[in-house]
Amino acid sequence: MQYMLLIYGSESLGPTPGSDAFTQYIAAYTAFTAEIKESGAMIAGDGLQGVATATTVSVRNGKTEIVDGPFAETKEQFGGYYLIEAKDLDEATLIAAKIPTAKHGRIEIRPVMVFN
Amino acid sequence: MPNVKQKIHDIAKLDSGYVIASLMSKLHDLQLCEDCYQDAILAALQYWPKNGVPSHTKAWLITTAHRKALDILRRGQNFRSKQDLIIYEAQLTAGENTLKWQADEITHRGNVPSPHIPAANIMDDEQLKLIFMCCHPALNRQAQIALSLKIIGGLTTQEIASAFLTSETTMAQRLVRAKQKIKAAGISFKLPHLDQLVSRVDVILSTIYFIYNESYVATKSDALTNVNLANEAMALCRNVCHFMPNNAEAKGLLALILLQISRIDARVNEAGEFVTLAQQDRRLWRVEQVSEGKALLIAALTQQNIGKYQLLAAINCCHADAKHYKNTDWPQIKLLYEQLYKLEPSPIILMNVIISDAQTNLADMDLQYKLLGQLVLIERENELANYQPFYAVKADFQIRLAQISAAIITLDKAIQLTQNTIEIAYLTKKRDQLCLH
Repeated sequence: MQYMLLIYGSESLGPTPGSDAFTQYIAAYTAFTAEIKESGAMIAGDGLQGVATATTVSVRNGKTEIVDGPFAETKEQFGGYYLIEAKDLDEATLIAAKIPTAKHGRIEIRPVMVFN
Repeated sequence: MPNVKQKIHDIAKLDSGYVIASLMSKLHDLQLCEDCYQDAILAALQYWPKNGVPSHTKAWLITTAHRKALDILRRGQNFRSKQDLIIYEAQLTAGENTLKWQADEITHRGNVPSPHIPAANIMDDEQLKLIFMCCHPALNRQAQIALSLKIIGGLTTQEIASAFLTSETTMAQRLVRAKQKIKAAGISFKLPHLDQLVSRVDVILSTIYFIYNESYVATKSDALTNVNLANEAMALCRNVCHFMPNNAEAKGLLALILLQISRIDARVNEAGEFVTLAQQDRRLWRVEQVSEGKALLIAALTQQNIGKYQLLAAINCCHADAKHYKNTDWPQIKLLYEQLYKLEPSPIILMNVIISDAQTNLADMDLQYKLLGQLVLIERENELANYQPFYAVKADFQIRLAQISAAIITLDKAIQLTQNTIEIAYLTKKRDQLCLH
């Protein structure tokens, strides 16, 4: 099965850029990405720029509305994702738990819809 | 033949976990397996009253359910189900030829030759997988409870709905959503990874404990205890103990349930009134359940892996050991609650430390006054704000200290917080007696 691991974190909770902790944090991400690439589980993965850069689009009654900012203002924001291949939810959970942001943020696991 | 119908109803409950686990090992689709099991029970209701109950009911039900599964898969239109069918047919013919025992053939002959059901030790694993699946942490507590009672306990949706005082439609929807989540999220039919095992077993035990607690004081009910639900919790726990004989906490939980259920006949008097532990006629306690509970607790404790349920069982054992209320070993109970508080620092356990401390010397008014002070300190804790027993306990302290008008106000609060009619009657009577003073 394919699972999308959605990474939610808060800029105030994670390590501050420039600090030693931040360097370790990035190194942990590099190691994690290398590990799941190696294992064959990784399909895709990206980090996103901050919510300040977000734009939200909707179409209502044929009219396109564009709003500055993310869809929902929450304490934790969607910051990146991994798309992985895993046997089942338990295996996806084991992989998700290794994502460095899991230590201060949250990872939402969503199975990818299959059309047949 | 109403007695055959009743017998089938009982068998449907008893065999549910076994048969569905057996189907799951080949079909891996909980909804399909459950549907096929229901169809097999319907077939039993049709054939058994005419032809007699087969000697191997599990084999009959498995065979019949497999036939239903084949029918359903053959009717399937899409490629996916065709693929499933091919694999499924291959598995059935490659292994022991289960389908050799065609269901109607069995019914017509009445008796089955030696059935092709998997060996007991293999089935233990399969049934354990089913319990882990029903209590998967990715399901919410309500879903875990509903699935466990339905799939493993074999209860009907209507029975579960009435036990939890919801409508059958609501319960049916809850079950459907739970099964959809299992399928869509990819919750596997397998034993958990070793490093997840402990926490996964915890979820199973806490689900059973939740079901049992719900039965102990049936909320919003007219009966004090929901006996059927209590028995279901006990049966589920027995299953877990059987499949995990080395788990001390599973034994501890079963011991706890047995020791508490043993007092069930003494908790309500002939007039239907609630009787406190202090006033219970201890001759009414069920001796067999007490001794089984004790034996289980001793077996659990020797494994030297102490936990919450063993401590709670040990506390109940102290009550079981006291011939009269006045002989209760309160210092020991206090020690056990203190140990429990170290494991799980919750205000409810702290309340129990305070209660048992008070019981060690009821005549010492300084001690009672000091302890009431401690009780008031934890009153604002979230868990206690709407917890009826807390106010009943607080009122007891106030009565002991002759603070009668304060006790009446506290009892009013306790009455507001319960919806169980027997508890309301008990607390109201106590309050009214105070008003007469």
